[in-house]
Amino acid sequence: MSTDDELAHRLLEHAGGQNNIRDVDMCFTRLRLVLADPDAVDVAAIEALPEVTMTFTQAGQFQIVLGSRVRRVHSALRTLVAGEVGPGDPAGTAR
Amino acid sequence: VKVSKVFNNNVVLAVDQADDGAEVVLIGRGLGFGVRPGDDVDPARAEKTFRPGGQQTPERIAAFLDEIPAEDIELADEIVRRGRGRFGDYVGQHMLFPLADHLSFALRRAREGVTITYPLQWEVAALYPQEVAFSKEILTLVTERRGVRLPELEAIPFALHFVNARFGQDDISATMEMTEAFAAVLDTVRSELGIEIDEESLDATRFITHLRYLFLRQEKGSASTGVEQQQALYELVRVSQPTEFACAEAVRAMLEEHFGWRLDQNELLYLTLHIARLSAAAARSAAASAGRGPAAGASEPPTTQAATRQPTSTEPTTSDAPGKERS
Repeated sequence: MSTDDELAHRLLEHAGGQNNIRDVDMCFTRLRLVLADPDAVDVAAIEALPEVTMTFTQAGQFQIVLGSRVRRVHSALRTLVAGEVGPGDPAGTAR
Repeated sequence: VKVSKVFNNNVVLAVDQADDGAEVVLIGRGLGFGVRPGDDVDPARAEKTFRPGGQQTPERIAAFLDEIPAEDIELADEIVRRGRGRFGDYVGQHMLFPLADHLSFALRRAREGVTITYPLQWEVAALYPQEVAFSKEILTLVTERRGVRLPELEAIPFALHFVNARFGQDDISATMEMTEAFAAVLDTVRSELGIEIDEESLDATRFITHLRYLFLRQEKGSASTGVEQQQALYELVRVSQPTEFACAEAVRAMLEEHFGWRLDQNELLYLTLHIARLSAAAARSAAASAGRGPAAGASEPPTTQAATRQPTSTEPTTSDAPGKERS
């Protein structure tokens, strides 16, 4: 399991699990989650992760600032949320 | 137009019957006050009108308008208008919210003193010089309008928004993957052939355009260009340009390994032809700078031996080849 997958797993866990995540989106440096129940998120635990620069909620999205790693973590998390759990994700294993 | 949803006192979603029932988000003071779905609303009362589309659902637009300061949206609007003037019609309203969102985020970080590292800094600066130049003007505009000087580095994400629009990409992650792949290809060519590549040259621009379509074909999973296997041409090129062909094979291996791309024989052929052009251009500019001799570089140490075919560093060194305008 790559570290991007691990990080995605941790984020998923702290964000209230698969059922709490309605949508996963991203931009240049931010992971953007649309959540079923925003209160189910352990914000402190997410911000305590060394890879996370900051978090905030804007425009109905819980945003996690990750910097350069965002694209790979995003594809790993998408796979997890879609339920296709497994390390065989080609996008997630690139490099 | 008829109201179909009231988001708050100032924002409503409406259906424009005159325009085939298209949805529009209207904003205006008190526009949603005491209004119910099905009521008529006068579009002339709206201060701004937005048409949802793509990833911009009415809900997202409404949430945006609710939380992003109006002055940020207005400044983003000005940036979009300037961008359209500079780059043309592919810069449109669809860029407004992503840009406003980014601008707001950048201003917020500047206020809170949070700095972040951007991915692909060097790649974006090298591959998309026009967009980066424009984005530096945006930073100046932001200073003029808001009195905040954003760090130079902030030109990178702005530039990527415009690149995204240029390539007609809806999804910025695809643009990022593409950018990473382009840079990796150029690096491979540099190290395989031991040449310098000027990213601002016409040949490099053409090569990047070619890679752009290669990327699209990969995404769509379509076979190269739909032409028949050009076996005879392939053989001819393979035999007559062995160095460039080997380089193209190295590029193919790299793209397969790191990006999961699959290149067939036709793609390899086209790649070889483009690489041959880059290598010929590098040889020309090496010859030109060698011809000029010591007069070429007064301040820098002579680079003539580095410019000939020698496997030198893959770093973009400050060469004094003519036409270079690297910062």
